[in-house]
Amino acid sequence: MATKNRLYEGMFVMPQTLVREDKEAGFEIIRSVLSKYDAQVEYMDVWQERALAYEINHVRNATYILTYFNAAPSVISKIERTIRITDEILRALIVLPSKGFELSELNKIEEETNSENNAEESKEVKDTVEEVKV
Amino acid sequence: MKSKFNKKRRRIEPELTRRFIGDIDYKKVKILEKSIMPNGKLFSGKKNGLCAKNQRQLAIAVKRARYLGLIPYIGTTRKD
Repeated sequence: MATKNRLYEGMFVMPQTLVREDKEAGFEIIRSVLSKYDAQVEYMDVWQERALAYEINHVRNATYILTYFNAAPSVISKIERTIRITDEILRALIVLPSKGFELSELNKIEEETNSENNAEESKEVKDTVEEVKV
Repeated sequence: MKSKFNKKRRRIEPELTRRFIGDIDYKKVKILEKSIMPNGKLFSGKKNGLCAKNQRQLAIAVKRARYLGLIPYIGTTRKD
């Protein structure tokens, strides 16, 4: 019996120097790994460019690439193993999206991430955290 | 003297916390940074004002964010 494909969320960490000049080159590396195991990429874009909290393979600045893809559950471990031996990818995390997630909600997520930087909202959260700590 | 164990414990309803945090996710780095101590340890559920279920979700989110290099395992984030 053929296993049913599921939607997975993948976050890939790549060195900033590699992706900054040519974004597509970075995407292509990830795509080649995923397509090897018949995973259909639904969404792929740069999530953030930021300094790493700690050095990984002597790399300090990284680009985070967020992807959503459909794949059979049995190939996830194989994808992870292939990623581990791919030099260009520093770290990768493949998880199931949160309950009730739909690809059409992606724009909403981007808005949320942007509004996180909004001072007002962060202040609101901070206030509640402080209130609790007292 | 009133024993400290008799003090009414402040309870935060999960609905209330969800209004501020939404789904607890490893991508919400700013919120995660607020829920860890300067040495990198996770604050208790009581201090974070979360119910047990949300605190467990937060612990998973923090561990995922650490693995991806979004927040440090030990100490504060580098500033350079």
